[in-house]
Amino acid sequence: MSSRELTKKELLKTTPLFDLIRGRGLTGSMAWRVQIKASGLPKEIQACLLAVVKRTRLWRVEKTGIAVELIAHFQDGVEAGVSCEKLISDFGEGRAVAKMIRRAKIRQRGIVYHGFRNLILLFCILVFTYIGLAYYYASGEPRVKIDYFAKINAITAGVPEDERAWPIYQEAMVAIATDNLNGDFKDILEGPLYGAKPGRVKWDRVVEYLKLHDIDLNRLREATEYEKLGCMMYQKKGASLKEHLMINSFTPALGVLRSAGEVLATDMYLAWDEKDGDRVIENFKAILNISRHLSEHSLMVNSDFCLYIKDLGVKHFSTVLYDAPELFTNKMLVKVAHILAEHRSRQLFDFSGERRSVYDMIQRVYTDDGVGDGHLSYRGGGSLIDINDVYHRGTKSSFVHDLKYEGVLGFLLIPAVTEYTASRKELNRVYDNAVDKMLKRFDVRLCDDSGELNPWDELEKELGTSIADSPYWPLSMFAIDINGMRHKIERSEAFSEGLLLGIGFELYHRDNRTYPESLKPLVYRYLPQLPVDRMTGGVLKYKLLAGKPIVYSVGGDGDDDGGVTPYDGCPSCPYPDISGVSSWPKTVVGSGNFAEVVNGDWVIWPLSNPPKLGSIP
Amino acid sequence: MKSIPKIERELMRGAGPIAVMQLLSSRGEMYGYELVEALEKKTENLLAMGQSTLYPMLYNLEAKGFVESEQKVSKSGRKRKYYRLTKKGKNRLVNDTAQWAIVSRALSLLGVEGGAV
Repeated sequence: MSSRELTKKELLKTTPLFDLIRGRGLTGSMAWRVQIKASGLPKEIQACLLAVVKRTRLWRVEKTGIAVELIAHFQDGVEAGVSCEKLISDFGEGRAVAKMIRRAKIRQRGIVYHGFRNLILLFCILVFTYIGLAYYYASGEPRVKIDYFAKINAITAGVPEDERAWPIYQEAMVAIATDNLNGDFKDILEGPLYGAKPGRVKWDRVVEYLKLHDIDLNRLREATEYEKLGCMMYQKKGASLKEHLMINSFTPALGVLRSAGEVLATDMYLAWDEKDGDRVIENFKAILNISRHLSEHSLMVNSDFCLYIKDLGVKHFSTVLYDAPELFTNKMLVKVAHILAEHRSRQLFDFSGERRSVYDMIQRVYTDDGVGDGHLSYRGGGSLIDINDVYHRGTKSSFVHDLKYEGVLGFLLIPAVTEYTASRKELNRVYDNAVDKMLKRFDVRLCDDSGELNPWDELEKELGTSIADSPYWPLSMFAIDINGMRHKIERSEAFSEGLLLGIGFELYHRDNRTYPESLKPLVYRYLPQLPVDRMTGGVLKYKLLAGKPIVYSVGGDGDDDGGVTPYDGCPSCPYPDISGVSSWPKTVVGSGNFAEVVNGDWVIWPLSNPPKLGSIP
Repeated sequence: MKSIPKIERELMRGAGPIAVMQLLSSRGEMYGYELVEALEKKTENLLAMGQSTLYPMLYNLEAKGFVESEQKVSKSGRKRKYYRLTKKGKNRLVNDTAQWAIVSRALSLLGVEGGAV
């Protein structure tokens, strides 16, 4: 029995160099196929061995060891005179033998191999589970069961068409804001028209433009006299989920009425310029009516605009009254006081629509299991991530900031984001809990506030992170800090009280040719009662500065700073912004230009250009 | 002479390793084909097992540390793998043999014909 001739290629495979390339030492014996072919065994046995060793699917070094052993086995058999058929038959069925050898050999492998194999297995299971979860979460669709829009629009829908102010507003504002008379007034329409004052840039051009639109301004004032606004919130047919979620964009009245208020404020100054006190008051009343109209939808963004517009009217009228009281007769001033009394800032706030808008958001982004629970849907999560950029433009405000639900990576993000995000039930619970707490505290006066954290801050403290980075991150885009609104209302009410005091001072001065020594003489004859210091609940500070009265609260720091507001180098911001104050009055942690400003007083009369800390020696 | 059927697979699974270890214990070290032949002759073909069973069995015993192997070149120049019992294997053989004797005795007491070793 002799080995058959090996080809050069086969010989090369048995060299130590070839083994070295495979990283298996310098034995020169790793080519198991070559070894079987060179064994000199009959072809049937060789075929049997090749098939068995190949089917073991083991590592080459293991196959080589088995091949060597089996070659010797069959060579012994042949040498003992056993026929090929019997040897092959006794050896057993090739496939079964290979399987058993494979099992036994794998069992022989070390602990490192088995540990690694189990890790791979575990990893594969996790990957498949994760992909399965991704499909499960991606397939869940939200169901819009409740028409919250209809509920929010309920009041508006009940207003007859001919009793709605909105069409008249639209008509008047289209004429005022878009009729630029062949482009001649483009320069003032882009800014100066809204909030212009005598002496400011392009005032003459603004006056010219307003006079050309005299009829439209009258039409605008006519619209404000209507009882109801009658502007329906709506969404276009086929709107995307993203468009649906940005519910604030469905209130077309916001931008238009804000501009209307600002144009009327400008016209208030023009009326002053023209010594027309009646028109000043007409504009003042119209601005306050616009504010009332905007409160019709009971959304927080509307309430915010309401307060902005009302404060605009109060502050500008106060300026006119302070600088040109001669424009108004006593009767006219009493009329202004009555108008103010009819427009309480607190009445402009209604949270019901806001709550519905958040419920609407939740039903559009979460699946519905029929019993009030569900998970964040694929489309819902994607849309929230998209609009997160819109709501927090330019800031890294949430852990979803850099995420995108696009492509394979986006698909793989689904389970992680969904699992991390609170369930529908949990999100609802947290939202309702926080809102209920805030509403409960809503009517607590600033001076009675114990300074406890607002519910959102409480939640963040409990979570140890911001809401935007917590499982409740969708709320960071929709849940509004009612506390901030409460402080804005307090400030707005204080402005109104300041104007009432200003009217009282003017009437007193007309009767007595001097201002009172204290606030007490104003009561009954000029004011039904004295307002209190909203910070302390005590008596407001009063003094005469350069012969003119000044009334102030001691402010956030509780110290009497002599009637000067915090100096911050911002001439256009004479009042401390307390909208972001979370604990009051102990600490002012407001946002914006007045963040962390604690020193100074809160001057409520005069409202225009009160003295500032650091601005007087 | 009454023909005796080949041992059932399940029984062989228990008896096979003991038989192989017993052979290795008595002969010191043996290679695969030698074991096949010895099993045939010494057990009058009763425990003759196909090589398909023998080699995986040897690998299993090796994985468990009961036997160890060494590749040697025989006088004829043939590379062979020789198996021998380890200390652990010897202990195991003692233990398995004792257990097997208990089972045989129990079967014998129950009247199972030919149950005695």
